[in-house]
Amino acid sequence: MKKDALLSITGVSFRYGAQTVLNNINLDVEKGEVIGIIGPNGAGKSTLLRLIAGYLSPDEGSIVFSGSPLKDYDRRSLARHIATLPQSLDMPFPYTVEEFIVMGRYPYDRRSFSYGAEEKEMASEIMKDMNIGHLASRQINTLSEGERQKVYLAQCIVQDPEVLLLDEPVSHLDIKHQMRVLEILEGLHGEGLTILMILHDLNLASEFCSRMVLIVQGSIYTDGPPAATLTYENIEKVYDTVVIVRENPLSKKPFVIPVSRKYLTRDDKSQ
Amino acid sequence: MWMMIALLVFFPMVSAAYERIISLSPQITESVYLLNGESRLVAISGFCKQPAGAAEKIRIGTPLRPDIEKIVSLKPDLVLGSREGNPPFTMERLKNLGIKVHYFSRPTNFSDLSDNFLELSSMLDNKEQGKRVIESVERSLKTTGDGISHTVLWQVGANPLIVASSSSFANDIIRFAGGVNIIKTELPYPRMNVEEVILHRPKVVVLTSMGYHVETEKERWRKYIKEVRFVTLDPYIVGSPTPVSFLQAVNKLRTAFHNSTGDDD
Amino acid sequence: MKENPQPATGNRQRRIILIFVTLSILLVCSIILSLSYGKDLSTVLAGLFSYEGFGLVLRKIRIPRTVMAFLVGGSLGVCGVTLQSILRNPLAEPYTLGVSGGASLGITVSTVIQMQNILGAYAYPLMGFAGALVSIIVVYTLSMRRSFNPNSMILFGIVASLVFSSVVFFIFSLLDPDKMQLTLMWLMGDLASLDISLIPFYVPLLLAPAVILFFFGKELDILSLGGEKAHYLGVHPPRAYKILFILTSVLTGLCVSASGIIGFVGLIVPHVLRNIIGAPHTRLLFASYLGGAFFLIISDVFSRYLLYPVELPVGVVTGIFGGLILLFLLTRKR
Repeated sequence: MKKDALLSITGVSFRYGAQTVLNNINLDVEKGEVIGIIGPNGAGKSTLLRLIAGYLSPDEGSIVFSGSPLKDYDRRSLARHIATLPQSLDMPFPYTVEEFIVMGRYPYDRRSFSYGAEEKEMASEIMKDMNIGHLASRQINTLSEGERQKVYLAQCIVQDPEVLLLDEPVSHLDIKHQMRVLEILEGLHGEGLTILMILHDLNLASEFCSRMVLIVQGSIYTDGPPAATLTYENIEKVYDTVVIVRENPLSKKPFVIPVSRKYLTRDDKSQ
Repeated sequence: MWMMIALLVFFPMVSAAYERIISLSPQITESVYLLNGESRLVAISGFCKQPAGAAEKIRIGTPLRPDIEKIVSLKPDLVLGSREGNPPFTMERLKNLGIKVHYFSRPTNFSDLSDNFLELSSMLDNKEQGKRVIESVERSLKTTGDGISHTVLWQVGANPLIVASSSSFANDIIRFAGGVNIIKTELPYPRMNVEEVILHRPKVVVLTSMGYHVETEKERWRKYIKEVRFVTLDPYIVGSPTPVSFLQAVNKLRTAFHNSTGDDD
Repeated sequence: MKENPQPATGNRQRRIILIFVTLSILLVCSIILSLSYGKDLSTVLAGLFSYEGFGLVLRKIRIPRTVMAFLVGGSLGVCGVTLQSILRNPLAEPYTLGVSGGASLGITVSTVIQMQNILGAYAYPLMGFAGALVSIIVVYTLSMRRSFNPNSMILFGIVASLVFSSVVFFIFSLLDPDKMQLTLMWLMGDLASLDISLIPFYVPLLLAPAVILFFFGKELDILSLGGEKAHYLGVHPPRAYKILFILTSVLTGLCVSASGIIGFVGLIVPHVLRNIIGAPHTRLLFASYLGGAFFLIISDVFSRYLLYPVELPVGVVTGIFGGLILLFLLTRKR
């Protein structure tokens, strides 16, 4: 366990009933890293995120944030340091964008009944930065997927966190919005934000993350920079799919090309 | 020989009296006793000890839940009930089991009540007693009006306030007593707005002490109408009393009209 | 980069203020209507200053009734908002968590054992609330094991209500039809039944939980995002649900003990107002109190005077009004 790490996860295991979802996870996160958590479905990625966010408690091991154990933080103060966006957010009520985003200031604003002018001003600023200012009075359920995801992100950012945890933030967006959102995250990272995000698109993870943690069946399979993690040996072993790995001509990062079975020779197919 | 055949044919019609009678309602039981027919009563419902001697009779459940098995086992030749006091399907069940059942119809006024009573007297083969009782009651009911309008409120329920209106059976009791019902609607038992009652300032309030607390109601009415008088009656009066208890109710009302003090009890 | 348009927000603020003003005016009008219906100005004015005649009616009948309609209507409105937020369903209503079944049982038992002979006019309110408390304790205890997860709470509430209702019907089957009739009529809603001497107790009892709920507006906003996201924003869902459950159940139980089961107020008022002033809960709570009070007072006026002198159960009137409004709203959207 590194002493000055922002986030230290040591020996963490989590069981759901009789099933072991995560087993002996060890992970140190430095300030300012952008970590992509990847792995097959059901590997335990979301569970790991929930543990880090404090929503679940580990059965074994410890999680230390900024030098103090996670469980020592009360919810409100933790929310001032860590902002988490779950995979899906169901909105049964017709909040407008600005009403929704300002809720992210709840951990800070202790007054009753409403949010102060400063809080609303902060929300306004964030909306401008993210280019969604024109949506301020729109109702959330009238927005497109891409716009909505930006709004959810804005709510997290207005929490003024040090760490941002995201569970599949771009999975259901089109290419344009995927890039937009990830570019926003890139910008935030530039301002000092530490980001952990679960991505199922390996190539997006490769482009935007400085470090990738590959989780398989509750354990960390490999942990390191994209070039080291995204090798065809690792991918084929973990995803049981033949792939070719090439280098992105612009960023020099690895990108993964899945190979359809019809291109395989008889020898390859026997695998 | 012809005489024999004639007798055989006519005998059932002449001797329409029943020997093994079961009564499903306490009011019918009371009427049977008034008609001196208690010896024909094999079993009765309810658990009252009135009238005198009824304590010894076999019980076949309550008016709402007659014990059909027991009824059948007693092999009655007539079962008596009423439409408002006993469940309708009991009648059907017993009929299907081959037992003769007679339900008296709901009386809407004293005349209906008399008719039912006379019908019963015929079944008990005691028409004379029936006539005697009715005539005696009718004599006592007759009265010359005193010209004063005695306004009456007949309260059936509290919280919410439910009254017996001019279209109800109970109204006949008011009528014979020489009073007038302050609530005149088509519905017999409407739910009432209290203000309407206060507007009419009834002289007498009849309380039928069922499901609500009589003392509380008395307090309530005294608050609005200082000189109001009260009459407390058995709740079964509202449904179908015997002619005698009908008369008793009328007399209680009459007393209240002419009393200067508050209550009858 | 486009500017955040200020005028639109300013407009919305003005609009919201306008709506609150309108609600308040409507409420005041309904109160005046309830107190003075059918009487001319001089009678009413004379009544304000005397203890006789209309003055008696005013003080002993109309004012108490209007006060109760105000308090119960407002409370049901606020409970409706709270439950809709917790259950994340704009069609939830105060009785969803089982309080009505328990209260019905309390009142039925009271009739059977003739409680009114001991407690007089206090029988129904006390026994009704006792029954509601039993139901609350049952649902609370069951919900505790599931960390007050809202979906579990609904299930427990429904089951509790079913069980209590079954017992009520069982008792009904043994009762005299007349006693059953009276109990049934009361359960349909009656704003006049509460003994006047109890009203000074009910006023603070009904106001306190409602006022406390006003302070939970921001938390209700966050809870409507779901337990997980609420957690991430700094709210402890199990504790929040527990407190809100107790507050709304006690408040609803008090309402039922005072005036029977009056439906639709807690469903319709928040639902309609949310579409008018938006989803943020603080102002929705305040508006629903005003709106609920108005709706119930108006319904009560109808119940008194539609078929005068016969009075309708107020729960029937709210049911019909509420049902029609709901039908209109639902068919309009399609």
